[in-house]
Amino acid sequence: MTDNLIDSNKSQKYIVPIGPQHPALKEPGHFEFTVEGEIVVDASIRLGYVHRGVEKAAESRTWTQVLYLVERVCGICSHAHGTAFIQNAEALAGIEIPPRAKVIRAIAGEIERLHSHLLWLGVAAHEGGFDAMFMYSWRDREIVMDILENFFGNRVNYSVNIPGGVKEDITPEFAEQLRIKLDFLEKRLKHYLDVVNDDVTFRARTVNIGTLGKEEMTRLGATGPTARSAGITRDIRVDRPYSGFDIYPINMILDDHGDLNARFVVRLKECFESIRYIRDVLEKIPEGELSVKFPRKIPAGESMSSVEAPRGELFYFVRSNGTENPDRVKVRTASLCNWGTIVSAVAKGHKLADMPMILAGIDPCFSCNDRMVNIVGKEKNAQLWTWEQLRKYGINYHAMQEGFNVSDCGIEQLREEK
Amino acid sequence: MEENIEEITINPESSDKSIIDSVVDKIRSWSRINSPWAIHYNSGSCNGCDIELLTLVTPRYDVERLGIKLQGSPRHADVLIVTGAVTFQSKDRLIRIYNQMPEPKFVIALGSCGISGGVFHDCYCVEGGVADVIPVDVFVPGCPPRPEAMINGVATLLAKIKAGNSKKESSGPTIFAMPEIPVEPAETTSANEPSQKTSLEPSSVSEENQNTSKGENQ
Amino acid sequence: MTDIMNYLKEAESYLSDISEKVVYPENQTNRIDVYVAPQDIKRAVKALYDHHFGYLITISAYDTTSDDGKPQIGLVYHFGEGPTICSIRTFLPHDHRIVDTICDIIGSATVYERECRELFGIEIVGTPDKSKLLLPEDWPDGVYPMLKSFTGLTDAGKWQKESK
Repeated sequence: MTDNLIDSNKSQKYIVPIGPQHPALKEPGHFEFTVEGEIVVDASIRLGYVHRGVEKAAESRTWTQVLYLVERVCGICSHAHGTAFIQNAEALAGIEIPPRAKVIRAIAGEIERLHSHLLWLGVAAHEGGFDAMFMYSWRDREIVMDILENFFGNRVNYSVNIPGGVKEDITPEFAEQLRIKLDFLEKRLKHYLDVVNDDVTFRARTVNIGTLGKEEMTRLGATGPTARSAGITRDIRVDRPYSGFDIYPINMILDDHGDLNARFVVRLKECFESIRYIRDVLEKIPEGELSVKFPRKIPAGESMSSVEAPRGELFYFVRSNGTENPDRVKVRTASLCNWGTIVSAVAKGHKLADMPMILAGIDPCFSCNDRMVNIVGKEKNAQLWTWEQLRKYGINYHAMQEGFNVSDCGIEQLREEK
Repeated sequence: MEENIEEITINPESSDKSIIDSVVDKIRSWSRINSPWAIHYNSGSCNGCDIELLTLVTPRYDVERLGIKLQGSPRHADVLIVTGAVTFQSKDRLIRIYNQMPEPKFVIALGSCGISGGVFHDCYCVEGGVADVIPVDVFVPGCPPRPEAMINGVATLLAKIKAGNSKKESSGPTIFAMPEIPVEPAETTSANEPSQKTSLEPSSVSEENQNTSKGENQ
Repeated sequence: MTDIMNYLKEAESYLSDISEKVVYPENQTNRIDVYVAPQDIKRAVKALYDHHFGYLITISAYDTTSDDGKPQIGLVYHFGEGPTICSIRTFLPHDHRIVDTICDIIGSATVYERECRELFGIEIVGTPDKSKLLLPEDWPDGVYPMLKSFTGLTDAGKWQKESK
């Protein structure tokens, strides 16, 4: 079905809407690609399916309640959201949290980065038809989840932060346990880096795909691993060091290729850097209190600061009017600005078959954006594909190029749908 | 497996059907219990439940060995797993997916948000819990529920199907429009509706639902 | 510290002929707030862009009241450069919420402008994409949820939504 669709419409432009319900990303997302033959000439997004109105709801809750609300903006980077919000609140209240709390926040952030990057690695590999990698990386991700659960008491939305400090202490026993698990994880990550660098089929799907130069990335304001994969020195942990990173600095990971493969390499190398950082900091974690008193009411004022979430710069702008509730909480998530980069610049000119990998390459997070996309489908030539169909089309297309027939191998049940 | 077939209670309506029909029904029901296919829809969740649900198909938990399969098309699904509070924008789509599923169909609402809207219960773009939009068979509480809790949720559903008290064939049209559902605590609502609802923890769920009602009345 | 100061002075100098007021916030030493007139927003953004000062982090809007008690919308264009954040700020009166687009300078601003349009009802002249980004398709027209006057969809609003 997918082959006919493309072949019979080679000459004309038409729109391929994809989503919003699709099994791969586990999030509702709708994209619209305008294709000419099989080359994408335009792409657009309609967000809003997961728009819940968190920013408005924050105005009617107390500072402490908002902390728990913003942690649930995104379940994957919940610690980053909580940290970004609460450090603004602390700046407004004029309180300095104890150094030990700062370092524990940094460690939690790095553990979260490990879990998020492993999650992404699996999902991105899955989009490329590399399900074995998906299963392996998610198996190893469970180790990180165990760490999170042992440490903070929950696998997701672990609420490390409380206003004025952190909730849990790092005990020597936990640190010992953490080191053992990190050793194992590092071994596995080396293996994945080898796969990304050496595997022929994997490289065929990623090298020189979705390339965007440094200049253009800078102009479009890409952040996070997406930007660093093109050699842009932009990492909030280094540029504007926040809790913990001002005491113990972290290194920035860069790559200058700017293609999909570089995004894999940068994220994996960041995992190594996170492991190194956690190990180092565990040795010299400062002694002291875990939290200081946080006032109920915060003096009027404004604060803006960023946190390097796994996906990039997470920016919070918080206003207080002197009451128990914030006056305005503005959230700008990393996926949103990276989305602009990828869709407006990268997607155009690429084959439709490469879209799943390119989209996965920025690690899109819809709930982070409070957003999602919907079906328009009124255009004459519109035909609805599910994400799964697009993914299968992509895998099949590249298999054909290499002279394999994937469906014969029984790896993918390509004809399963309809 | 033979005795499994014996245990299944037959829908009273099918008693006047031919014997072949009833045997086919038995086999269908037996296979449904042994291998439920699930479709996942995120109606406004924070991703927490979604990644935990995806964890279920990965090696640590691997529910496929129990016959549970996550797949993409509503036409092939027995069970609809909904995560998150229902937003206005995704409400129509959720109903559409529900209507596309073949009968009999079952719904699992995952997480605190799926039960009542959770932390998002009074946000301006949030309709409420999943039960405010479509009938729900099993609620799994937690923020997010642990993978074990999700497996338990599916097991609870299967036990219900086996006991025959979750049949919805007789419930008529399955188009659920919002105004028809009264804004009341879940326990009362479920009694009024054609379908039956249950939960893993009835007390906590009813509390949560009362919160939702308050939120909506504002 | 001198490094941060250099960045801030640099930003101030680029905007010196446009700015109405320059504020160095006390609680965060790495920030500078430059207030400009609404019609000068585009010039200010262009000045920073032409000098390759930073990147646009986002555009924020907030509902507030002026010193003499009139309701107004605060509009903030955040630029990040190294350790500093430079904010170009302006105020729009409630009855005249119009500002020029900056998408012809920075293309990726389109999503932020769509957000301001949708949630605050700010009319952005010349913005390339005016379709809805966040709110449902059937959201009632003229209802802007982030304004302080909005306290939830009224029954009338809900009715309008459902009858559509």
